Amino acid sequence: MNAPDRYERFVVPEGTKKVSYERDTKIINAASFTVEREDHTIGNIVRMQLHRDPNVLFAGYKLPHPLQYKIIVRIHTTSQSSPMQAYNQAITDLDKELDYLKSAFEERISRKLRRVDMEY
Amino acid sequence: MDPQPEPVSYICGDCGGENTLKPGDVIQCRECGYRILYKKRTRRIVQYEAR
Amino acid sequence: MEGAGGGGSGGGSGVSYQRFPRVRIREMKDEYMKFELRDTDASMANALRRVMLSEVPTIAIDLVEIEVNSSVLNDEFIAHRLGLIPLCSERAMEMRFSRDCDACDGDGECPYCSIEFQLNVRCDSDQTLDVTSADLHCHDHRFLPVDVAQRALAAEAAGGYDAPEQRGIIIVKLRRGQELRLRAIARKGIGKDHAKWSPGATVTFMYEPEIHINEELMETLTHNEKLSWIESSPTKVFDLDPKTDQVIVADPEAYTYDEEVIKKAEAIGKPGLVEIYAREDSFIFTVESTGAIPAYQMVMNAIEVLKQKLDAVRLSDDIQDNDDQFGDLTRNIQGAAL
Repeated sequence: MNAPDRYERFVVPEGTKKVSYERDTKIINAASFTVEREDHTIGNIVRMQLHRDPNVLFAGYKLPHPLQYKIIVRIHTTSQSSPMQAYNQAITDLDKELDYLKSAFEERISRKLRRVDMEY
Repeated sequence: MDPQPEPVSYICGDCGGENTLKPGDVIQCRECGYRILYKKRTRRIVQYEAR
Repeated sequence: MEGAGGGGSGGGSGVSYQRFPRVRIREMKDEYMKFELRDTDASMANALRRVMLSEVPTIAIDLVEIEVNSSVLNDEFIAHRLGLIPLCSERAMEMRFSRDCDACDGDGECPYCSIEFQLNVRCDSDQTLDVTSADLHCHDHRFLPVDVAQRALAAEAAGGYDAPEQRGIIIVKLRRGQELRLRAIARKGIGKDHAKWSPGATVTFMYEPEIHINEELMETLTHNEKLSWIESSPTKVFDLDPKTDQVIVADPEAYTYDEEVIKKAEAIGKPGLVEIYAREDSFIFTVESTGAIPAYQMVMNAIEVLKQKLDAVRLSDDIQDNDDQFGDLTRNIQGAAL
């Protein structure tokens, strides 16, 4: 009866920002990103990609509550970088990885469809 | 209460035949004598979410 | 490097920590696929699995207007059953969600976001009449129920004859005099909203196991010890070569990481008989589709959806600009303090 609509899990409400940014008050080069209507799918790949960046000292994400449809990504970097730069870099790299994966898959699938499959 | 109680039609639970009953009638199918009758569904179109 | 521009310019540094995953498809059928994914990590494998299950869009019946229903099942029961019928969703990726469609109010007349189905069946014989997915009529044949579309293909292949064992998905059974008449509207949706929109029956991945048998130690076992050690694995991972009497790895992927063989080796006083590692950058995926979209298309769509999601979580320019100013300010203050 009073259950919230299911689409509230993935539709960003009007007037709300998808990503907001909050700088840490005490530590320089540390910040939290609040990403609305996202979950472990995005949180975990972004976190793991950030760990590949040697300028990132800390990267973690949390889903504060299963009924609050948002994640918080916290990043601390060296002075060589900044949380924003690292965040953008991680997303760009993931995007490129997926581009690469997509073309790799397309090629493999079309080969399979033409029944001329070969090893790697 | 109603000045002219309308007869309501029911479906027999056994033979499926239609029966019209007025208040005070015996609840029994006229065709087969079965005593379980079902009220008919509304003739209106009803909308549902398929979830 | 204390330059004020250090923050916010984002991704312009030129360095990249990108990975280049490799793919090998082992098996590919319309509704089943098995492939290897290498040189990436579990977060990417899991993101793909999660997206396939809950965010790749399909088409499913979402609204039902029942005109006549004298069947034994009640209206909401039938509406629910209709929603669960998988429909061919090849076009789902390019369609709109009804809630985002500005061309209509989602009432079934809109070519961008919804498809109308009609069902009109009445039983007039003494035999029970099965109402099936094949009774759902739609003017657009691209959105047929999955089983109906498959049957049409099979009939074409068999030279116009229907395979008798395929009779569609049963919605309800009617006896003499009963009737079912309704209009249904199918819409685009995702599994997160309701499981009926999920294109995945099952999607799983496992780490590729690496099994090393200590041959020297293994040779100290008697024939019967070898046999009982092989038997200790609940799945058939190891076997005995009948000629050489050597233990061989018959099927490494049958290993379920249960560690039974390791415990057994310890129990017979031979620890280190076998070493098993999970290769944490190699995955074996199994994808099963409901038929709404072919399994390989599910994977492709998952990659596309994940890309769109990443694009959506990019920082907007106004946040970056605000921070740049803020950054300069704090740095100036710090500079002054020094």
